[in-house]
Order: sequence, then structure tokens, then C-alpha cells
Amino acid sequence: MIDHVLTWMTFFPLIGAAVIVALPGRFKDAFKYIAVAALAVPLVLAVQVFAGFDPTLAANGKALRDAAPGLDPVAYGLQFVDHAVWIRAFNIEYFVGVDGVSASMVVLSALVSFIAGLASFLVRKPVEPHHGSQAGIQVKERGYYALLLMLATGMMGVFVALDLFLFYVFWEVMLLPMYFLIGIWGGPRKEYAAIKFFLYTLFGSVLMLLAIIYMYYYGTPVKGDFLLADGSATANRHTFNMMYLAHHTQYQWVSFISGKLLWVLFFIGFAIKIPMFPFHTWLPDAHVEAPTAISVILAGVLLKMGTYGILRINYPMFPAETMWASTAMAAFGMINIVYGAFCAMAQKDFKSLVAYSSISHMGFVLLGMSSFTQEGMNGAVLQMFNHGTITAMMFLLVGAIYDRAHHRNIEGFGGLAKTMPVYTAFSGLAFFAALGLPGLSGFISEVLVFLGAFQTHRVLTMISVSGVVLGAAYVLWTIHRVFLGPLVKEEYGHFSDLNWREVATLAPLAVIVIVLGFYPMPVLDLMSAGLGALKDMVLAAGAAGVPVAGL
Amino acid sequence: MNDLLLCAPILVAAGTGILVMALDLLSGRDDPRKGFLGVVTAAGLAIAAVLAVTLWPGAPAFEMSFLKGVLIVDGFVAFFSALVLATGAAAALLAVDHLPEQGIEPGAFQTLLAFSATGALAFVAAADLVTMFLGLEVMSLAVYALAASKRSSGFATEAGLKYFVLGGLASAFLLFGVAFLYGATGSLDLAGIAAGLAGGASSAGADRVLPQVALVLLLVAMGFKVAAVPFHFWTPDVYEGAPTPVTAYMAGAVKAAGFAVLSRLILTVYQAPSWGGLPLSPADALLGLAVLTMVVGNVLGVVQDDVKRILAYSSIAHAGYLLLGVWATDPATRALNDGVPFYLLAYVAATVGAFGVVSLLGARGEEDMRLPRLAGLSKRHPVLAAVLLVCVLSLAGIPPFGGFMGKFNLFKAVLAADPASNVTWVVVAVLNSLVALYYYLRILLYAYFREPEVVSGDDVAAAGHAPAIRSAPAWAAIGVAALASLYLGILPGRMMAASGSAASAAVVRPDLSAALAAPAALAPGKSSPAPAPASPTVSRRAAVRDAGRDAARDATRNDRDAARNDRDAAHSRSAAPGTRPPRPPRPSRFAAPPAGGGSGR
Amino acid sequence: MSGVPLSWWLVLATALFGIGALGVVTRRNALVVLMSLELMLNGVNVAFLAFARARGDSLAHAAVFIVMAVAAAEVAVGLALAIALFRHGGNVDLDRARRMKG
Repeated sequence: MIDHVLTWMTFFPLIGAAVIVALPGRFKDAFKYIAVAALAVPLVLAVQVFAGFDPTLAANGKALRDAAPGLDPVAYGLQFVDHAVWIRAFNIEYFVGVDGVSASMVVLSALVSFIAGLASFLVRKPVEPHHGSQAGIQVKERGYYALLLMLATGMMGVFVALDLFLFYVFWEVMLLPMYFLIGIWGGPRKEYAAIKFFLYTLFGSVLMLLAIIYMYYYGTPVKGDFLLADGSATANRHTFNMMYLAHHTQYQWVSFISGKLLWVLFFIGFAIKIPMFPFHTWLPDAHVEAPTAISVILAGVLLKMGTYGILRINYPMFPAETMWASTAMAAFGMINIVYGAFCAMAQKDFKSLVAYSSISHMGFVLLGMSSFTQEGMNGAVLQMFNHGTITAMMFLLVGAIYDRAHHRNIEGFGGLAKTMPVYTAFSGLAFFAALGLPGLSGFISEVLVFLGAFQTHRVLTMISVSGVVLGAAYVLWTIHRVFLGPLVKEEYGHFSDLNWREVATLAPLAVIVIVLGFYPMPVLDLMSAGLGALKDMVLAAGAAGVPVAGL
Repeated sequence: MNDLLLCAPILVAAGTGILVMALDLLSGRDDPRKGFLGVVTAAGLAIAAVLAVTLWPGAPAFEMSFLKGVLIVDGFVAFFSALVLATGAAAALLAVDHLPEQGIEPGAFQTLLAFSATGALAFVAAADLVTMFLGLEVMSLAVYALAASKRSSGFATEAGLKYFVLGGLASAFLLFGVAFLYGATGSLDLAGIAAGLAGGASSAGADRVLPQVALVLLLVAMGFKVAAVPFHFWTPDVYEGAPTPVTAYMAGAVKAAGFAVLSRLILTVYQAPSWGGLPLSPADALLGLAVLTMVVGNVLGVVQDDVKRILAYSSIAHAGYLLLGVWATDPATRALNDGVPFYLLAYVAATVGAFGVVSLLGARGEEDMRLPRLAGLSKRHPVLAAVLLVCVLSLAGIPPFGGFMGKFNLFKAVLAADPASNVTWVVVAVLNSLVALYYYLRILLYAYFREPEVVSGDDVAAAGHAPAIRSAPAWAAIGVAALASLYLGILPGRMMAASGSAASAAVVRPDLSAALAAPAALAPGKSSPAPAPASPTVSRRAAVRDAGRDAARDATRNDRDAARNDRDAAHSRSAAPGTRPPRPPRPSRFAAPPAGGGSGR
Repeated sequence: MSGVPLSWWLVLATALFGIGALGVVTRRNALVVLMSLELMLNGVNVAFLAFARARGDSLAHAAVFIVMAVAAAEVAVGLALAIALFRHGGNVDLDRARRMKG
């Protein structure tokens, strides 16, 4: 067992990046191994977090609200905490830890990053045919792997940060590597996609920043003093500590600013990341242009940051406002589900089909979250986890076929089941899991979401269920067009099936999809207590109807 | 002796200039090893910077005997002097190998650079307005010549002349303002004028018109110096035309010095936010200047396609953010907004780094720096590209770089100064920095995403195939700039503290000298003199927040009014002709924060 | 001077300053612009001396001497730049400087 496990998980990839940058060029064949090793360490440590996490521990919002701010992490349901003062002048701290909301995301992030690292070099074919063999991620490997590792650090940081400022810094830090990974190693329209991604996300995070600054300035303790990591009281009674902001802070409202406005600012920042309709247009562009491994990370982890942020910030810090916005959130979730599914049906490009299916699936998360029931919340976070694994598989599969055919036009395939049986098997698994076939992991989370949401938003949920039908339609139609029927081109008959490297990236995900389909308890256990406490907090605030702590 | 010691940084800087001049004469005319002159200049200025930060922060003004009315040395001056000197040193290092490439004579260049830094020091540290004018002229005259130092290029000469004409205009405006202030108060030193304005002790004609007009003139002059819209139009041309190390110096040191003096004038002389009781509060004008500057700078930056021009407009936009900071003084402390010095520090580090990279790319006498010349930079010169990346992102205000901390800190401080009304302007500034992202990203886009176009023959250099200048000194300078940007972003604690104490020393309190001259007997018991100058302000501010803002502000206001009454009394006692009775307490109009602040909460 | 009130002197100073400023902004010939700058500084000098006279102290006289010296230095630099410009284009037209788009 290692101390400071979350810190190591977060920064070990950064050490790897530094090593890669520092090594002279003659070691360039080693870069990819260093990268994978640096990503394997967090995965191993994630096992420790997974195994050592006490799932019964959760914050008792009511008890905390009545108490003066204290430093005991257990009281807040936090585990594996590292806590130190970073910038004393502004009470900014290095504060990381996991609770029920983030534990599963930390595991997912470590897993998907590692898979993406593997996928980066195990698939050795050139990604961009126009440039011959010297294309794709085979050029400028040093930069690619260094950025990939920085991205991993940023992602992990977002999930473990418990200081609002630290959270924001990680949020932005993750943005830049992504921008370059799409912009340098992407497809033909990479510049457009990279800039669109960057500007959309940055616009959202700037709104967030405004809200954060406001919360810092106008949040004062309900009673007692905010404490810093070393036990001293903050000099000016302001804090970025998320736990304090959630449980011990009252705000002053100036002119037109209110809790609702701050809630909306945060929500837009996160909604862009989810991406929620109407902020979703960057996603298909980014996915289509990004190299396979980056698409995997984008869909597998980055999208979850949006919903995670809402659970981490909007819910506990503005519970009454969350209640207020509950129907709107559910409605947007419904729109995402249906709209994403319709768009997916209309796509000709295999990759943008998967991208739009992501939009549809993230709608389930929003819908489940907005239900404020144990089932709905569990389903939402489980859906985040499952979508991470399923979509990662789907992007890997799209990448594999693209490496062979050098195009992604769905109409341009057909009959691949005959020539590539293993590929077809994995594809079938991934697509059926996405559509929610019983026995696979997607089913469990979607059912939980519907069970929960139906209690709160009946009509919206019933409309959303149609999304499942639409999902089945586009999935089955895609399978039909790609894998069944006659071969479209003679040469497609000579495609080699998946090689062992490709199988190595897909198999772990497939195992997870199947196991969680039968027995989701390991992941559900991680989150249940934490999400329950969160739900109770929101419900209590909503029932009180008047500003309580955090308001 | 004490004076000499305290003057040491200025003397060292001036001595560096003389030394370099002598070394230049001693070495042969076409000595290929003239590069060492730049290293000597940089070393000299660096030593001066170290002396400034060690000697000055702890030296209260009144310890100087002979130079008491000429120079002020305190934490504020130390901070800005060190910034100016460090920028000068960086420019000297950047110039070492840039000059031979461009065919510029190094001896004169480095000498002028050292003298310009000396002038900037006097400008920043001036205790009276004539010294300030002298410092400004010494700084500026040298920079005019530096800007035009590439004599083979008509372009550079024009840039120099243009800068000269507009700089001369600015100096004349400054001087005219000084004359009016003298007319209004009969004094030329900062504290004296401030006391005169606050006490309303003017014997020369109209009571408030002269200081009001003087303020407008001073704002125009400083607007030129810091490149604020609408006095900015020289900036892109001059920045583009001047040799790039000079551009770095202008964008860094001259702007920093300009902001230091602007803060002094506004805060010490006019005692913002009370503005010495002027009938028309200029706070709105200052705010308008700030907003206009950031909007125009950013919008025009978007349409540029030359790296130097983009960076020029970026520097204009940054002047806008800084002006917003200078505008937003906290009425409770009356000190400089403590986000400003740190912001300047982060801005200067990033700007110098970015211009430094550009200066290394301008090889073979080539000055054209259109964006396509950057194409493929990440492949040809990965380290230069990385430095450019860090600096540009820092300018854009993206974590984890210094510019982000600077913006965060500044906007936070602006909000703190007047929560109710400043929210709008912070939002405007933040939206502006989003616009700015567009042109910053364009630089990176070319450096990282674009491949150089395939061309032949003479176009090779223009298309970005020319190798960068190999120069160890310049690499050291840009390396330090990039590391500083990172350091300020990741571990900003120390420099933020330094920034805070510099800001709190920005106001030379007239009541301090009044209190020294006339003992407390004049002010019977009830009121302590207004806030002490240096560090206590910080803890005071903290204490103020603790006690609840509104109450504290009222308390401070009373405090301040009381102090002003004391001052008035002292003044009328010491003023020789016509003994006037002490004034009645002023109505709180003079203490009211600018722009209708303080209400609405 | 005793018969002339302060305000008249100030009007004179402002007029000189204004004419100079106008000249700097509108004229193209670098030499005329230089002269206009000088005019502005001399307007300032008049203002200084008028105030000094009115207040009856000599502080501003020192300032005026300094301004005169600085003005001379400024002219030296300005003329040098003008000559450099002349060498390039054969004239001292400032308008050429707008070749760089403003």
C-alpha cells in the first residue's frame, strides 16, 4: 500500500512526460513504452483505491451544516486525502481525495488512459493515408506521448481535486494537450476541430471562473472560521475548499447575481463538456478529426467531466437551485437522448455515428441525475462508467477498420463478418452493450436511470425511452450495413482480422462490459452511499425551499 | 553616505552605461567579440536590480537626507525598478547576437539601453515632478535612438521618428500638466502637491480648474506611454519597425515604468478614489480608457497577420486590463490595487519571452515576421516553439502559467475594491480575454499545426525555412522568461506577497510628512492618523475584511476625514500668508468611492 | 509684467502649447514637427514662469532651465533621426511612416 496514492496517480504520468521530453532523440523507440509504463502505474494504483475504498463512508450533510468547519476528511466522506496549503495569500490549497462520487471516475480515468496509451502504438498502421507511412502518431512521437501523459494528469486531477481553484487549474490544464493532440495528429480538418474544441470549452470554463471568483469573495462561513490544511484559520474568511463551500458557506448576493445565476454559469461550463444540446456541435468535429486513441480518451473520460462537475459542484454547493433546475436538466437529458439518436441514424461517417451515440448516451446521465432518487443517481454514475468503457471500445473498433479501409463511410462496407469474425464479435458486443441489451453493462445503467427518473419526471422519461428504440434502430442498421450482406469491394475480402495487439486493447474493456452486465455491484457499491448522501442533501434543500448552507 | 548607498542601483545602472561606452571605445571598431558588451550590460543591470530589491524596500523615505525631495525609495519603487532592470538585462542579452545579424552597432546600442534603464529608474523613483520629467526624457530619448538604431532600414528609422514625435508630444503634455499642478499648489514634489490639493491651498486663481486640467494632461501623457487607446496608434508601427530586442524593452520596461508612475500620480498626487476633491471625478474617464483599451486592443489584434503586430496589440490589450486594475482602488485602503504589480510581472515575463523568440527568428537582416514564417517552428526549433507556447499561453491567461494567476489575482482584486459595480467590468475584461485567445491561438496554430510552404530561392527566408539565430545569451533570457512564467503560475505565493507589499507602498502619504512636521498636538486625541504607509496596510486590509466590509469602510472614511482635517489644520498653520481658520469637516462627497460604488448591496 | 494678469499669461501659454500640438499632429515635414514640439515646450515654460511670478517663488525657474536643457537634447535626437530618414528617402516627410499601416 502506498501513501499519497491519489497524488501519485495524478502526477506520475507527468513525471513520465518529463522523462520523455528530457530523453535524447536516439531513445525515440522507447517513448511509447515509457508512456505506457507511466500510464500503467496509475492503473495499478487505481486497484488500490478500488480495493481500499470504504463504500459505507458518506458525508452527513445535515450534521456538517450544523457544525463549525472542521478538517476531518472522514466527516466529509473523503478517503485517500492529501491536503496542503498551496498559495497561502488566497487560501488556495492542494486538496485531493475521493468519495462516492469520484471513486468510480478515478478508476475509469486510469483505465481508459492506459488503454489509450496502448492503442496509440499497438495499432501501427498509418492513420492518415495521404501522407504515406510517415503520418499519424508515428511522426513526432515525443510530443504525442508527452502530451498524452499531460492529458492523463489533467484528467485525473479534475476527478480528485477538492479545492475549487485546483479543480479549475486541472480543468484548463487538460484542455491544452487535447487541443494539440487533435490539432497536430488529427485528420484533414484538424485545425478547425481543435480550435472549435478549445474555444467552446474555454468559453464554458471562463463562465465557471467568474462563478468561482464570486463564490470565493462572497462566501463566508456560517459559523466559526474556515481552516487551512495546517489547521490555521484563513486570514480573510474566504475559501476555495469544496467541502467548506458545500457545507459551511453562506453567500451574499450582489445586484443581479444570485445562486441561480451561479448555478447556470457552472452548468453551462459543464454542459459544454458533456456535451449537452445545444452546446454539442464541437463533439462530432473533434471526434472525427482526432486520432483513435484520443477519441477514446475524449469519449471515455472527458465527457464524464461535465456530468461529474455538475455532481461535484452544482449539486452540493447549490442544492436548492439544483432542485429548481431539476425539470430543465431532465428535459435537456431527454433532448440529448432523442436528438443524439436521430443524428446518429443520419450519419454516413462511422466515427461521427459513434460520436452522436455518445451525445445520446450522455443524455441518460443527465436524466438520471435529475431524478434525485437513489436508483436514478446510481444509474447516472454507472452510466458514466459504462459509457466510458463501451464507447472506448467502439472508437477502438472504428479505428481498427479505418486503419484497414482508410475510410469510414458506413455505406462503403458490408459483409465484414465473413472476413473478420473476431472483429465482428467485438463490434457486436460493443454495439449491443451500447443499445442496452440485457446481460451487458449498458442495460443495467439505463434501466436504473429509467427506474429512477420515472418517479420524478414521468412524461420526460417516457419520451426518453423512445431513445432506446432509436438506439436499437441505428445500432442494428449499422451492424446490418457493415457486417452483413455481400462484400462491397473485392479487396475487403483480404482484410486481416484483429491482431493480438488490437485484441489486447479491446479484451479488458469487453470483460468489464460483460462482468458489469451480470454483476454491477462492485461499481455500484463504490458510489451508492456517497450519491445517497448527495441526493438527501439536495432533497432537504429543495424541501426547505429556503436558502440553507451553500446558498 | 546613506544617500549614496540608497542611490546605488541608479548609480550602478548609470555606471554600466559608462563602462560599456568605455569598453566599446577600447575594443576595436570591428571587433567580432563585441557581444560581450551585451553580457556586461545585462550583468550590470542585473546587479542594479538585486541592489534595488535588497536596499530599497526597507528604506523609508525620510532616511534620505540630501536626496529627500528628489527620490523616493520604498517597496513600490523597488518592485518596479527591479522589473524594469530585469527587462533591460533581458533585452541586452537578446540583442547580443541579434545586432550583428541586423547590422546594428552594438556599442552604442548597449550603452543607450543602460542609460535608458537608468532614466526609467529615475522616472519611477522620482519624488518630484521635475525629476520625473527628467527620468522620462532620459528613458525615452535613449529608446527613440534605440528604435531607429538599425540605420540600414528605412522602416526602423521611420519607427524611431514616429515614436520620437509621439513621445515628444507625451512629454510636453506631461510637462504642461506639471506646470498646472505647480500653479495650483506651488509645489513640485508629490507629497507637497498632494497636500496642497487635499487642503485646497491654492493661491493662484481658480481653485479646482487647474488640477482638473492638469489631470487630463497627465492622463493623456501617460496614456501615450503605456499605449492606452486612443493614444495607442503609434504602438503597432513602432513595435513592428524597431529591432525586436528594443520592442521587448518597450513593451516590458517602458510600460512597467509608465504604470508605476501612472499609479503614483493617480494615487499619491490625486489620492484616488477621492481625487483630491476635484469637481469632476475622473474615475469614469479612467474606466473608459481601460475598457476602450482592452476592447480595441483585442479586436484589432484579431485582424493582424504579423507576429510583432499581434504582440503589439496584445500589449495594448494588457494595458487595458492593467488600467482597470489601477482604476479599481479599494476605498478602504486607498493603496494601489494589489493585483497590478503581479500582473505586470507576469505580463512582462511573457512578453519579453515572446518577443525574444521572435528576435531569434529574425535572422539575416530579415524583419518581416508574418505568421507563415512561424510555420513548422515546432519541428525546426522545438525548444523555441515551446518557449513561445509558454509565453503566449501565459499572455492568454491559461493555467498553469503566470498570466492566468495574474488575471485571476487582478480580477479578484478589482472585485474586492468595489463589489457591486465592478462585477460588470470584470465580466467585460474576462470576455475580452476570450477574444484575445483567437489571435494567441493563431500564433500557436502556425507554430505547431502548419507545415512550411514549399518555396524556392529568395523566398526561403520569408517562408520560414531560415534557421534561428544561435545565441546562448538570448536563449538564457528567453529560458528565464519562460521559467518565470511557469514559476509565477505554479508557485505564485512569494511574488504575490511582494506584489501586495509593493502595492501598499504605492501611496506616498502626505499625512506622513505632515505628521512629522507638525506633532500630534494639533490633532487632539480622537483620531489616529490615516493608514501608515508600508506593510501594516496589508494586515489592516485583512482586519478590515474581518470586521465586515461596510462598517470598515465607514470607519475608514471617518478616519480619513478626520485625518484630512488634521492635515488642513497643519497646513493652514504652516502656510505663511493669510492665516485661514481650519476648515469645517468636508462633506463625505470627497471620500465617496468612484462611480457610484459602495451602494446596492 | 506686473500689469499683466496671470490669466493672460496662461492664455498665451495655452495658445503656444495648442499651436504646437496642432502642428505636431497635422504637419508632415519632420522639421516643422520638431519646431512644433519646441513650441509646446516653450508654452510650458511660459506657464511655469507665469506661475512662479504669481506665487513669488523661484522653484519653477529651476524647472524651466531643466526643460530648456532637455528640449535641446530632444532636438538633437530628433534632428539625428530626421537626417537618418533623409538618407533613406531623400526627404523628411513623416507621412512615409504611414507606409506601415496604422
